[in-house]
Amino acid sequence: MTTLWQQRPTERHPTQIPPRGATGKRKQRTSFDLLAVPLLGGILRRPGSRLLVQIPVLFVSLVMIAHAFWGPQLAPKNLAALLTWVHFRGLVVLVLLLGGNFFCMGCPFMLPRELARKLHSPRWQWPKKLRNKWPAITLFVGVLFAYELFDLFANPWWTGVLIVSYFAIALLVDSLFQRASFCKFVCPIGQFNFLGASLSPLEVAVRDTAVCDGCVTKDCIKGTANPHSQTGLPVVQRGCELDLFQPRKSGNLDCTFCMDCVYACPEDNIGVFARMPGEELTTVGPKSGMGIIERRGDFSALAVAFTFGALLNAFAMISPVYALENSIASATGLTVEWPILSAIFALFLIIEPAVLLGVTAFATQRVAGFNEGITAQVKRLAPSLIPIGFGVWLAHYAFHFLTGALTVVPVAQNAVRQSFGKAWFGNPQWQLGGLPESVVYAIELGFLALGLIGSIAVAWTLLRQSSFPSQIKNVERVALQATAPWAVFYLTLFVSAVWIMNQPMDMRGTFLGG
Amino acid sequence: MQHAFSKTFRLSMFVGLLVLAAVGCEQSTAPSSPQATGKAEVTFAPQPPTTGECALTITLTDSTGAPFKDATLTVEGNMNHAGMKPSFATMEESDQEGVYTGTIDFTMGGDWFLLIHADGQNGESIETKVDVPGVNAK
Ligand code: SF4
Ligand code: SF4
Repeated sequence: MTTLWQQRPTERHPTQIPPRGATGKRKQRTSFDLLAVPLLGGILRRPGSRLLVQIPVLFVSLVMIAHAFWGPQLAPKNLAALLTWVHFRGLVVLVLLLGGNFFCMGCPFMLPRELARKLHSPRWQWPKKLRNKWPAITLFVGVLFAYELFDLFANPWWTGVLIVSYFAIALLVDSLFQRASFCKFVCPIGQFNFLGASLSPLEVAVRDTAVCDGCVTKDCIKGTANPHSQTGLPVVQRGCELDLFQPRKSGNLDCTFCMDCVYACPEDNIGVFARMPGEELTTVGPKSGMGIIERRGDFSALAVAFTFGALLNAFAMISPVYALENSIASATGLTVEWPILSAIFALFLIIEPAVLLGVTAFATQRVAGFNEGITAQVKRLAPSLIPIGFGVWLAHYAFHFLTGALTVVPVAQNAVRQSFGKAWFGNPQWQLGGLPESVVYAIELGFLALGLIGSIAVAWTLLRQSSFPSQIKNVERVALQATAPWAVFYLTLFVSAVWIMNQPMDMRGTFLGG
Repeated sequence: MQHAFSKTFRLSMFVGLLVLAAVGCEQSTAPSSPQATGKAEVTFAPQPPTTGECALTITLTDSTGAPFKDATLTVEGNMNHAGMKPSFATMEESDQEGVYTGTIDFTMGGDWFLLIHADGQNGESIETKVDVPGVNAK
């Protein structure tokens, strides 16, 4: 249900931050605007247009749930396993790369919540202590862990449980808590999409900051009130529930592409504009709804989990991980997988990043003579982790998607034939697969190289903005030297990723030969 | 808009539930995971199997333990992970009754399973799933 923005006692209302245009220069966007595209733009600007994507996705989700529980319990023949682990993941990263966060826009988990909010308005505010990325980081790592432990990629039933749990948790959180609490603080897919969308070429942004300077309603954040109401209630079109105030919004972080701000803005001053992918990662200072990300430990931890999680998720698919599991098992005498997997997760998601980032920041400190502490430097440079992390996710998920994109055809044909007893879609064409691995390998390398270049470029841009000691005269040269340890660090991640992608894919669900 | 939303939403939920019911009925027409009605013993050369062409020997016996001879046999290899094209083996009965030989292409290392379906001459059939864990990448 739509709710008015309610100011939290210790937080500044987003509209209290002066619009950029009031303090800085007027900014007018003239780049490509998706909302200006004939027909498509008109459709997207209409309130409720999101349903055009959400309803088909909800429909597909229901089919997947049914097939997960009642279809064949063989992953390659099951729509839930296939669409979740091959098509959904592959399309998410490709759409983020080529467009923006359109998967959050089409998110089906929001439909039951909308229905629930029609019956009952949530009363509570999301707990203050949890207004950060830690709950989502915990869930993100939890899903990666469950994926390896339960071999979700090979298990339709558990995949179905995961989808249903997702619907249930989204419904529960947003039935109890106001605004978009689930998207902003809980959803691990959302956090993945937010980070990935920082590298997208499209961004929801204001057309002309001068229009915002003269705006008195600020409907993009407050929502549009009933014009005949004295009290401003009820709100007939909600504003941004993720606390992103358009004139101060910078980039795609935390933006679900829900278009509520577009529907609410009375001046039609918001569009979906083309921009330089990744540029937002190089801007420092306060961002609406995000605060100062370079000072947020939770944001740095999210970037670390995103990047090292990408490597771990790919590493877990190749033979050396089984050798590692077996050697831990024989050294410790353990015969169950979860403690061994926990040790591997701790090694790759905590110890390895701490050591590598600590050594890199220390080297930079020495080279550039920064006064800045190592932790502060790591937090400031954390956004530069995102491009290489995204490159690894892209390479991994694009591999599965591009090599198996057409397998959905025979699996769907088979499901229809078995469900209805008639081959309405024809007999299964099992010979359909996807692109040859050799072609996809070249694409994977391209994604990894893009990630490497992006990470080094972001690190260099951020380091150029450092406060250098006054005795340093040639700032450009020192900034370049300061970047060298980060470049070596990213090169190490790149080489590790290339090594992983070069290993024969060994998708083994068995542990200890069991 | 709100009214239109409810209407569209209710309609889509209704259609969704219908599909759920239809797909949910699938099990009544096809078992989700084939259960063995006879026995199939599979050996590979090389053993353990590696990626690439692999020789298969399948010995079929019926529920009484007698050789299951003159059967039409289909062998479909799949990986545990979704999104991989299945591999079909070409099988022929050898000189020994109930023993069939052929080759299958394991296109990738990892866990595989074989779906074996054999139709006998007198209407009997054997349908079973044989796990092939840990096909080694060369
Ligand atoms: S409602 Fe529109 S014009 Fe007003 S501040 Fe928001 S984006 Fe700018
Ligand atoms: S309302 Fe907020 S989350 Fe939705 S598109 Fe606008 S800025 Fe993004």
